[in-house]
Amino acid sequence: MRGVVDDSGRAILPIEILCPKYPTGVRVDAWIDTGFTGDLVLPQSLIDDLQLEITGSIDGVLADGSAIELSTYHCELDWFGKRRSLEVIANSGQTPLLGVGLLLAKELRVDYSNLELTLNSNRNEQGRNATIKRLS
Amino acid sequence: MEKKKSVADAARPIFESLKNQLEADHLNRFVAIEPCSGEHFIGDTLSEAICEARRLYPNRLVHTFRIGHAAAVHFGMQTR
Repeated sequence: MRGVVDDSGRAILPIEILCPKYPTGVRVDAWIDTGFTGDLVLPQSLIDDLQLEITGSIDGVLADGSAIELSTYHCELDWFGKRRSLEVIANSGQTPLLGVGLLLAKELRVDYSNLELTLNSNRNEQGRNATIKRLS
Repeated sequence: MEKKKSVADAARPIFESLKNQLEADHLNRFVAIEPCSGEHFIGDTLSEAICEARRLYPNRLVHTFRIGHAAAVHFGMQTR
C-alpha cells in the first residue's frame, strides 16, 4: 500500500472502508499515528455519514493522561486486498487516525526526502500478536 | 438497543470481578463484556473480542477492556 507525506510532514495512507451504505467501498485518508495503540479512529461526523452500526464502548487514555470513554462502530476494511472486519473508534476530531494495531506484522517506510510512504505486508504474522513493550 | 453509558457502567463491576483471573491467563488481550448476560469474550484484538460477542449477541452493546491496561487504547506515550 502506498501513501504520501503531506506539506506538514504527516504520513497519510489512503484506505478503503466498506459498510452497508458503501458496499463497494469509500476512500478515507488516514494519518499514521504510532502513538495510538488501537486500529482506526474515525471522526464521529464521518461515522454518522457512513451510517456505521454502534457496537459498544471502550475506555481510552489521551496523551495528557486524561481518561475518556469512546464509542466503537463496526465496518470492514479492504486491507491488502482482503476484507477485514474492524471495530473503529469514534472521536470528536477531524482526521482519521491509523494506529499500531493495523501496523503490527507490517513494514512501514516513510521517505521524507520524496514525501511518500509504503506499507508492506510481512509474511511473518507472528508480529500480529506482538506485545508493544514500554519504553523506559 | 441499550444506552452506551449504562453498558459501560454495568460492565465495569463484572470486569473487576474477573480481573485477577484474566490478568493471570490473558494479559494484554482484550475482553468484551456483555452486561445483560454477564458473559465475556476474549480476543487478541479489540475487533476480535467484540466480534466474538456479536456472534452470540448481534444486537447488544459491549464494553471492551484491555487486560492489564488502564484503558483499551492509548493516544500518546502512556501505555500502562
